[in-house]
Amino acid sequence: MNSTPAIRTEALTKIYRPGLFEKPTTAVSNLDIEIPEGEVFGFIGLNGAGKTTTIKLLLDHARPTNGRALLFGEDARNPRTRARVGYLPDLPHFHQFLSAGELLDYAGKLFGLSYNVRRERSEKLLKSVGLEGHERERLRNFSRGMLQRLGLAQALINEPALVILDEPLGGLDPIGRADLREIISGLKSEGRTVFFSSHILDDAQRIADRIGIIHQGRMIACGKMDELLTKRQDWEVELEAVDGFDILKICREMEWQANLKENLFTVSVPDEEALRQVYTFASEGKIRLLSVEQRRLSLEEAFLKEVDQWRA
Amino acid sequence: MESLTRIFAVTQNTFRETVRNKILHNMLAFAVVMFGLAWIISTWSVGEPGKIITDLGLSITVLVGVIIAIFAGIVLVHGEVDRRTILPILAKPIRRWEFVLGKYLGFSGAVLLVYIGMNIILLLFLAAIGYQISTQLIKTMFISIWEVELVVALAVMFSTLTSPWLSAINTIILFVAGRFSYDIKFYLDTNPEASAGLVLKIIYLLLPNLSYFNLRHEAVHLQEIPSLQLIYASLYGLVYCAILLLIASLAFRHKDLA
Amino acid sequence: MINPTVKTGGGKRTFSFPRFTQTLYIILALAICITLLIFLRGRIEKSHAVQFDFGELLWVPDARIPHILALGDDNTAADMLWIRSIFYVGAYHGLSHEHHQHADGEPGNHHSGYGRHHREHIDKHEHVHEHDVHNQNHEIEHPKEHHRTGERDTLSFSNVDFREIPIIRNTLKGYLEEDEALHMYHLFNVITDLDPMFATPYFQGAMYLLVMAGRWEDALKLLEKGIKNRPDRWEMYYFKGFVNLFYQNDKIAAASELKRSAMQKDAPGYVVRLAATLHAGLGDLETALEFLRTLAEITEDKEMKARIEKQIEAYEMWKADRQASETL
Repeated sequence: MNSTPAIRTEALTKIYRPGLFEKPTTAVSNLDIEIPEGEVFGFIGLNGAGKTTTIKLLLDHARPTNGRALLFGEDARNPRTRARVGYLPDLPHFHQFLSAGELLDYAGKLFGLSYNVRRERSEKLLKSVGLEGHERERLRNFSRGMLQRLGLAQALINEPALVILDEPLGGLDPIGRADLREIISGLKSEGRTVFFSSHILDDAQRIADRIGIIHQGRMIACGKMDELLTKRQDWEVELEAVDGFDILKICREMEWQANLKENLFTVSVPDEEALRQVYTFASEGKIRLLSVEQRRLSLEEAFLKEVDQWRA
Repeated sequence: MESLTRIFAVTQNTFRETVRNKILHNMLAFAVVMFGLAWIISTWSVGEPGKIITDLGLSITVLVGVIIAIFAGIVLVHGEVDRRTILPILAKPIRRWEFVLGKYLGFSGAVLLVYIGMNIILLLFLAAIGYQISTQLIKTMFISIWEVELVVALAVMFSTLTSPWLSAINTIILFVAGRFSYDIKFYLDTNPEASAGLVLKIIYLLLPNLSYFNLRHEAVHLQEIPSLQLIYASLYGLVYCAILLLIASLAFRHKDLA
Repeated sequence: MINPTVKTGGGKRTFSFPRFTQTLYIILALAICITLLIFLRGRIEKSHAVQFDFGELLWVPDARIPHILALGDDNTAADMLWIRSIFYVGAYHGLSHEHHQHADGEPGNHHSGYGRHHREHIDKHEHVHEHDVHNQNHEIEHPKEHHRTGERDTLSFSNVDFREIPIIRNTLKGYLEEDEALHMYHLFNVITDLDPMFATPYFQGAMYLLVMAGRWEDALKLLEKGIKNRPDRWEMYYFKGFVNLFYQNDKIAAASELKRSAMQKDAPGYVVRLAATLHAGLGDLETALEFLRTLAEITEDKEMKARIEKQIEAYEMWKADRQASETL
């Protein structure tokens, strides 16, 4: 694999200054990402976290206030870098007066593709995104989902080495999502790099090799799926209190989550230190342990946890 | 070369956009109706109906061209930014100035087509009512193209800078001022000691002088139009448009897209 | 929630009538609406008549205002003002017909054959009794000297003072009030400031000023401006000659203007002939009549034509009367 990463940002910062008397807002702050070629990277964050701004900085839709973004080792401000990039915007809008075929043709021309290549690829792409037979239809008659599919097709017209998808799963029905997942894994198998943003964690979890979590313009966590999920693991302990031992009080003190169900406590123990404490109680005969189970967090829980921790 | 391909792609798409624009169709129909009206009005006159229909016809073609230029032009770039259709375009290896130039060329090409179409209709109309078509008339129609083109460039420039409403207001103000910029010169010539004369002189230099493209008086009264005047006026128009496009490109160069 | 929509969809289909009938109904409804609209308009305008004072609307301080209003398209501005001024005159034709009937001394309308009919009478040397003409005759100060030209059986007064022919003086004014005429003169000036090459307003305007108001000084000024800007138009000299002859009694000047008029490239044949006769006769009354006839021929304004023709008739009758009294 190539040593130069597909995407690399160095202290990327974007501060918007809307007006003379308005407060500047920091959309992206000191962002460092490095995505090697061939990786599928999920960029996760709440709405307004700075995902779209980051993508804009990558595509030179906006200029960074500080730091820089590199695509394949070259500054993203250079338009040449975009020759190898495919981009699907969030809620894509295209010229309503065009037909699907015309749009793909236009996109192909901007990449300087020849007529034959344009024709061949647009036919192939329309088929792969499930828009066969809509080639001559005007885009004003397209539904949200169809536009999303067409947007993907136009992003792939240049057979890009790097595909940047902004909220690709938004606006798609479950079938569309499944199709998209398939397309993305297809892109991965072809050795392309995929950078996608999402606030839908479940899908990200299924597609991405690695994810980064962005909150209020800062990257708060980044890593391989497994790392990120096991880094913050907890244990679920089922236990019974012995001789009226006030386990609930302990839980309150330690800030463990606890549920009581017919004398049976289910306690979420956040880390190994805490688990040791539980074992100590058990050895002292204050509680009786029924089961200890290491529980992996879902990405959503991990995300919320990260955000919570960051806030604190 | 690649740059030209990209510019041409944008040009072609914008041309398509403009030709499919309803404003264009409406204004074309309006022009035809106005020609009919001009003909009726000319029959009301006592004497020289040919002069009146030509005066009116030429005024109408330019005015309709200008109206199309303003009202379709002000949304040309801003609309793309606002409706975010520009995002997938600028994610391709195209430079910002290439985009602006392509937009301008495509749009002005479409407006030009309509303008020429209107003039052909007018010529047929004049021929049908038995008016002698002079070379002056053809020259005037040619030179008036630049007035329309200049307004197109103004509208495109403003549309890269600001919102449609402001663009419309600014373009209209500059268009009107451009039509009267000779008046500033006359004022300065007749009042050499005028206060703020320097400011007025600068304003006069900066404003487009659209009177250069108005040879309608000469055409109607069959005055001689020196070819050199045509060449100079055309060059003036070309250079002014280039300046406006350069400003537009410059402003658009680092504009953050919403 | 899906079912009802399906139902309504089906319902539409069952209740829909064929497309043709639908179109017919729409057209019918449109027709009804339009009729209603026309009726309503009639009603509203009956009780709510808005009178525009065209005179006020027409007042334009100077050429700057229309210049600005027309966005610098001065030619078009001139055209529009010209048409407005024609309307102005036209509006006064309509409004003042009744009022001016008596002043004209001729009741009712005239048809074009009227003049020719009278000419025949004159040729037969029949005595024409026309009370108006008689009445006016009494006011005529008869020229002191007169002689006959051999070839033509007409009166000729080589030193007749044309200003003293009262018919011309009387019938060629009174349509416009003093201030209105001033207004018109001003307006023609504005028009010709806006488009100095626009020839018609000079001579046609001068004609309006003469025929409608008898303001020959203004007419002359307008024509002189016209000659300055459009020296190529024969009409300018022709009308100037007219003013020279009938209002200034300057036969020599008139003859020279007519000559210049005849020299312009588009000058029609009758102008050339008129110039010739004027030069030869220098004050032949028949020439004056000829002048009026050409005037009637030139003008495109039907109202004006009628007025001039009426004048020719009166003039011919006056002449016949004189002729008759002379033979006696």
